[in-house]
Amino acid sequence: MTNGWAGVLRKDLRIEFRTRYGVSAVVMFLLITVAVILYSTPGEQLQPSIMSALIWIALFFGAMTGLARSFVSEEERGTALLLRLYASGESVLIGKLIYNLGLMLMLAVSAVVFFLFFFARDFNVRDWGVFWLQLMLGAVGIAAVSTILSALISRASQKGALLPILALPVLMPLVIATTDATRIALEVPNAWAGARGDILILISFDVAMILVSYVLFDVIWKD
Amino acid sequence: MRLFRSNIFLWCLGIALAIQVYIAFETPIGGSFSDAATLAMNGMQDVTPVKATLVSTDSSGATFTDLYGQPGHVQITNRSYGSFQSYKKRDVLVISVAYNLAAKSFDLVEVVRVNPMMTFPMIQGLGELGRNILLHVPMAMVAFIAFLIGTIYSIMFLIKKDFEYDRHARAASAAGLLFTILATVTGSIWARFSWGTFWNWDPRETSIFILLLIYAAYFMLRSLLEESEDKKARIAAVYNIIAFVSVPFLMFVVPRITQSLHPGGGGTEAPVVNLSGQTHTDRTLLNMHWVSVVLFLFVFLWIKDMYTRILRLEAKRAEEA
Amino acid sequence: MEFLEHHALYVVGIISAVIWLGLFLFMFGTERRIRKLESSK
Repeated sequence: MTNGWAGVLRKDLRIEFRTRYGVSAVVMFLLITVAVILYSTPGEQLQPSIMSALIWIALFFGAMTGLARSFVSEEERGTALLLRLYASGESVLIGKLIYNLGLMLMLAVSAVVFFLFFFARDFNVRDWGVFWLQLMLGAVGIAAVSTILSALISRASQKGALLPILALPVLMPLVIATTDATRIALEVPNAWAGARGDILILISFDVAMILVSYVLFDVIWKD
Repeated sequence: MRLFRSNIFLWCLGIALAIQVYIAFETPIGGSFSDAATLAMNGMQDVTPVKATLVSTDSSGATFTDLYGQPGHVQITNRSYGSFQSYKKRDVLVISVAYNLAAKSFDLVEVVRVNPMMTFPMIQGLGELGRNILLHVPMAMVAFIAFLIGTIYSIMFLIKKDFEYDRHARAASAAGLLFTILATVTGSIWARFSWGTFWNWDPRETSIFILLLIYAAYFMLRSLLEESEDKKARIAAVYNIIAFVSVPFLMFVVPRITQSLHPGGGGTEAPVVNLSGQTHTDRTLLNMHWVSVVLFLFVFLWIKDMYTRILRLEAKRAEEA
Repeated sequence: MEFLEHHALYVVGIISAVIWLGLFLFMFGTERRIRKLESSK
């Protein structure tokens, strides 16, 4: 195993291919969410604002179930100590971040596919460019925050319920901006003018979060 | 801080605050003639206080120029209490006037104040409710400053590894949370009387709600962790720093981009903190506002100092036990 | 209601005085107790 971030990433991917825990948890979560929405709103016209709220609720809680695992599982399996010995904190963070980002992007893309399939009538994206841009930026932000907070709570004795409680308020500016941008992309064909402010919030939030987690990671990781 | 342990300073602070609040709520509101006319034409308010300089008196009333130099004639009618006989030229009067829609002139209701030291600006649509600016806005500003100070102490703690900084960070965040709650309560009562309901999910209301959630989560994290003191403090400090990254977004960016009932929302320029670096606020109000901010800041520092000392005592007790 | 409307200024003044006095009395009480504890060590 190489000691760089690529090694950490390769290790996580190998475990994922062996168990398929993350992907299946996330896909199941999405399917159940979509089923609940379909079951409770039969034949109803869902407005763009409701549609964007629903997709981001699904993405946020999906991320909380899937991405919380990244550091918690290391502690549970007792492999965190080995990881600490073999790789530098920096490469662990980058490896985990890229892995979580991949998982998050997969979650986002499958959510869009499910929504396109199941809500064919109401889920009409008018501006695909802005839609994908804000989806990617939102995914990056959620991945960054849940990676660092997952590392934070993995050091605590009670792990499960803590992540959503800690992550939701911190992610709220991002969620506000993405739901707004999604709504605009669903409503108007040329969404860039309306969504520019949201996109700027997303970019600065993502950059700030990644920088802060890069600086703070060693503090959490080192004992 | 030593300063907050001297009783004389604290009594001075108390008296200053009381005087400031009294002045802020006692100062007469002084609008202009156009305020009086528009408010009457919109049917919002019949009688409006106007601050104006006496130019000349005549048999039916007196001629004034208001604070924008706009002239206006105010008539004595049978509604009026008092007259202009006893006032000299160039006296500055705060008079409440009723706009006579038919005659397009102003009727005197009463003379409120003569040569006032200062007047509170007339904010159309707020009137007397506008005075809450001097409680609500400084509280929100001090809350932000408190969270900033708490975050700086958290960073210091991570660098120096001294528990003293951790106690400071905790105390500052707790006092910040207190000021956030105060800003929420004053704002909510204000919203009831000027927008109709206690809570509207306006962007700023949403963001202060999330702010409360963030710092509630911070204190919950502390009480939920069953680790050693050192680890607990480290985790809490890291969370405090991560959480603070989203605070400026919540307090400054999101409310300025989205449509809002608060001033400064949806592309309009905010009155005090904005990009152009200009203030769009009356001088008197702005001065009063900064005085309030400084006084509330002292109250915050006092509360923070006291809470730090309590935490210090608790730590000492835990050490002995 | 009539009374409140006519004497709004005094009502506001009294409310603010009570709040500030209460806060300061509470803070001074706490201050005294903390001092006692600090000096006992």
